[in-house]
Amino acid sequence: MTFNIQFVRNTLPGVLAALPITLYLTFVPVLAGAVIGFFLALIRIRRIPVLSQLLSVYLSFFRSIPNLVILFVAYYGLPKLINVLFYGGVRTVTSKSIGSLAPCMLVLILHSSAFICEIVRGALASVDMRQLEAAHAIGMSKASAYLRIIIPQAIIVALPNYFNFVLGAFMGTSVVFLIGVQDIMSVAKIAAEDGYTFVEAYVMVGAIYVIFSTAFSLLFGWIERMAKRRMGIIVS
Amino acid sequence: MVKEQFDLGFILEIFPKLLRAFPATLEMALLSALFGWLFGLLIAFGRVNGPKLFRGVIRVVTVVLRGVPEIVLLYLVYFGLPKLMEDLFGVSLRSWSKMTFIVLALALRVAMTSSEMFRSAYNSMDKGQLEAAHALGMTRWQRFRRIIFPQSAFVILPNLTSASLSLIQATSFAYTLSVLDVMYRARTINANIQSTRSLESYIAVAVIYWAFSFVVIRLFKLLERRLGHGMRTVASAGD
Repeated sequence: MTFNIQFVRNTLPGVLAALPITLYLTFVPVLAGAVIGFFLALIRIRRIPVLSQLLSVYLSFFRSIPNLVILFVAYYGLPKLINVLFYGGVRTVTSKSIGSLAPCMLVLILHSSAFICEIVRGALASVDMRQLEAAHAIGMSKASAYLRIIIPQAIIVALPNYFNFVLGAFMGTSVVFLIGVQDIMSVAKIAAEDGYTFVEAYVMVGAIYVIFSTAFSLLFGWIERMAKRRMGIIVS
Repeated sequence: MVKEQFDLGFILEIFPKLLRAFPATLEMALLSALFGWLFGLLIAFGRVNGPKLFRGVIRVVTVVLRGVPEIVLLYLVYFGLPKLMEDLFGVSLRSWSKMTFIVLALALRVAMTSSEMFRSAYNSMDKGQLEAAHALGMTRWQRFRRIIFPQSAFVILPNLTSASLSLIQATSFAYTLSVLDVMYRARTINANIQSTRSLESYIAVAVIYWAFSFVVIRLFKLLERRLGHGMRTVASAGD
């Protein structure tokens, strides 16, 4: 079977050079989303009047609409929004002047925050709240009870879901090239257009994704086991 | 200045045009789901009951097929399969429509994820029930239909809902292969008006997908209520 290995050898350096962008677009949203999502979860749990409802709508958007569509909306909408907010509607900023990385990062952070909010909510809900009463009964402060008892258990429950989400986010960055971000897909595709070596290009990109997702899975599994071991000493 | 303002009227105008392309999106999602679940069921069955070699091969294939993003899988199938078939078997896939390729690629993905779900649901079942069924003289098919299927189906519903939502979201990049779906239509319309109303058109697309997902979530919730008589849950689908 004809497989142009020379193409792979030529383009691999260029593709790998674009890998940091893919990783950047995975980990920044995932970490920012963890922080933001945690606070959003608190809002939903405490049922703060207006914000909770708005949050429901926001969450349902990101769950029901494809990321790609949201990315397009952001790509065209962000410049217009900035124009309206900061320049009184005058067409100062355009899609081209903002570029594709900024709207992309914004959308991904919002997306992560939404999903992580749900993960945190589920995790906190799964911890037996009677432990709070027990903590109160032995004179622990509320903050202490949360910090030393509830949250560690919630983290153990949340970790698998969170790591699954991180893997999903990593795979999800594969569509950003469609709004112009120069990631590994973009570099491979452009290189392949020359000699129509699309199979080789996508096998290469696919291999990179498989290798990294497998590596991440192993790493995350190890972290989960370590966390369980440590928490086992504190909790049991 | 008028041109710069957000044109709500345009969104309403463009809706009928986009909806006319919706059947293609629906077809993609439905066919991929059906073939995917069927295939997934077979694979799950094979993993539980099949020969060791089969199980090993499937595990490797699963890792690969789940480790690639959907869009990469789509391109691998679209560009790679015809080449593979021609080079190895001399079979030409030129007559296959773009729809066939995307359904194949998405169904493969659905099959992989759903086989995991079916397998874990089956493994979490009380084996005593299977033995009891055998003792009562039920055939394997009867046992599957009356005992395994109803309980397993209920257990996997939340996961099935999110998997279905992922599938719907995966249809959003079929337009790159010139499949005449909602996204493709939106892009054609944009091209015709020199991209002056891009924001409004993509908002319209977003609304269509939101409505589609909403209906699907509702359907699964209904299914959950019908199948879940007498069972109590901690969390339900769509929460």
